[in-house]
Amino acid sequence: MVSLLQCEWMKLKNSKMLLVSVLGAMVTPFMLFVEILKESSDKPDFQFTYYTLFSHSNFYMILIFGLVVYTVFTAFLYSREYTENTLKMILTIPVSRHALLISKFIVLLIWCVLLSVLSWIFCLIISCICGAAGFSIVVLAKSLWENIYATTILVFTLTPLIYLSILTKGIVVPVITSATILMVNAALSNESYASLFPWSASYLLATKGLDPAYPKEIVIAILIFTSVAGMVLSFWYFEKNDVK
Amino acid sequence: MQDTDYVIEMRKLTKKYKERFAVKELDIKVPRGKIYGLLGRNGAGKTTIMRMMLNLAVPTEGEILLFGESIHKNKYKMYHKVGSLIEAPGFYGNLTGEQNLKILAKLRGTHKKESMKDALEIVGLEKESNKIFADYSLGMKQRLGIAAAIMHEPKLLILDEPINGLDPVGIVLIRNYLERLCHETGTTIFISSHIISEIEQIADVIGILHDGEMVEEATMETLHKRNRQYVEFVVSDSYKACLILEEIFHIKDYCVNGQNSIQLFQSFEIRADINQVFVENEIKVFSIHLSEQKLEDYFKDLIGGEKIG
Repeated sequence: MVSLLQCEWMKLKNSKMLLVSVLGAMVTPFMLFVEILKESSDKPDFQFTYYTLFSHSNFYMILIFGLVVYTVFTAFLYSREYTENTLKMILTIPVSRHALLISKFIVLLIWCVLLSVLSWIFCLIISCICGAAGFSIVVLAKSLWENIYATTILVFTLTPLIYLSILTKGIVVPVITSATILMVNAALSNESYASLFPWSASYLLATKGLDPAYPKEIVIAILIFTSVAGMVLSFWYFEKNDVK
Repeated sequence: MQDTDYVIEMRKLTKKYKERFAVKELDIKVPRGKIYGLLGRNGAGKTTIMRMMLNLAVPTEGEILLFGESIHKNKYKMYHKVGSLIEAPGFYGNLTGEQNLKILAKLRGTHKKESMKDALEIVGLEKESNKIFADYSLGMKQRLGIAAAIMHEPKLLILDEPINGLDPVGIVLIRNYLERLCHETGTTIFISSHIISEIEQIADVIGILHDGEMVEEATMETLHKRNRQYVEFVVSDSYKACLILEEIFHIKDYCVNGQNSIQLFQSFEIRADINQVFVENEIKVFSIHLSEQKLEDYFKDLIGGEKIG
């Protein structure tokens, strides 16, 4: 497994996708900056705080932009073995099909968390530059923790999109699916049902924003079911299908 | 691993896609240290067979044994001794050739820098160390694929049309290397092609595949004997004719086909003289025929072909 992980990182060397995903993660700090400018121009006396800014950045990153950025990276990671025709080289070494999928998932998780933290750092820099009020280590630590926690749960709910990447052997369908999920997230943003939708629930669980009407155990069960279903489908399809 | 004379054994190997048989009840045995050439038109099933050998495709029926064991048992130990190249080789476009080989070596657990460099030198890519794979030409990609297959000194090489895209010099280079590898190290090679002239030059045994079925399997020696050029005399007395051939013309390389047909494998240029002597010795000559069939024509007749395939 260690060799597989090392090789997955080696494969990303010089890859444009690293840059693309970093640029994607920078959208959130950029959006934050635009928001600050807009609020400042509409209400010159408006005072924004670190707490508010980080709440917004986590919202943008986890529920909106992050979902699409992580999906693009996910689809690239899993479909590239098909698009670059490398599966028949790798699997005949031999490498276990299960181990290959798991190693990619671990790389995906690590990279998504790093992207999320990078985005958070840039949000912090923008907040400092724009003179946000209410600086507090507790606030920073809490938002960073929520960011990492929500990202981790979100990555585990990406397994159905992993399945779509393997099934379609490309990026397009998973990205379109993630865009659809994003629209649903936006539609459900102030609704109680958001707690039951896996890709909203990750953010709500991490930020303790679940609707009290739904027990936490049910939400966790839905998240686990989504993750496991995606994994099982991915493993089953990858194991059963001939490599062309 | 069992010790066996056959490195590859296929028993009733079958692959079916919906209602179509890609491979049908194939039986092949490849002895250790030999080069087996699988010949067939495009779509005959050559690549499908190789993918099944490498566990990239699941057979519908039948079994495959490598080194005496089923490919489903001990595959991690077994496939470490196998090097392969299936169709167009795939590598990571953002990495150089050496970086790609490094990944394969790392996954294999046999990371020796010298073996990578040696493999690149053998295929003539040692000077392309800074070029990423995406910028490789077709021939270079093929060479890298061959380098990846031979890098870890496998006991069995499974090569699917390895000379595709190579220039004439490259073809000779690779052919000579494979022959040397087989004869010096006893590596068994299972190679496929649709180019008869290439297989003819390298293989010890040829299997001819057509529409998923084996239509002929023979050693090169047998095929050459069977398909040599000859002059055929159809005469009234073949016994007397043979005596004349041996005593007057000192010809020994001939064979008698049936009661009246003699095939000469030498001395085509004096066939007129032979005819004259036959007639002078009261042997009636009904026909003289110089065969033009080459191996290529033989295969064409066997696996059919006026259409491109």
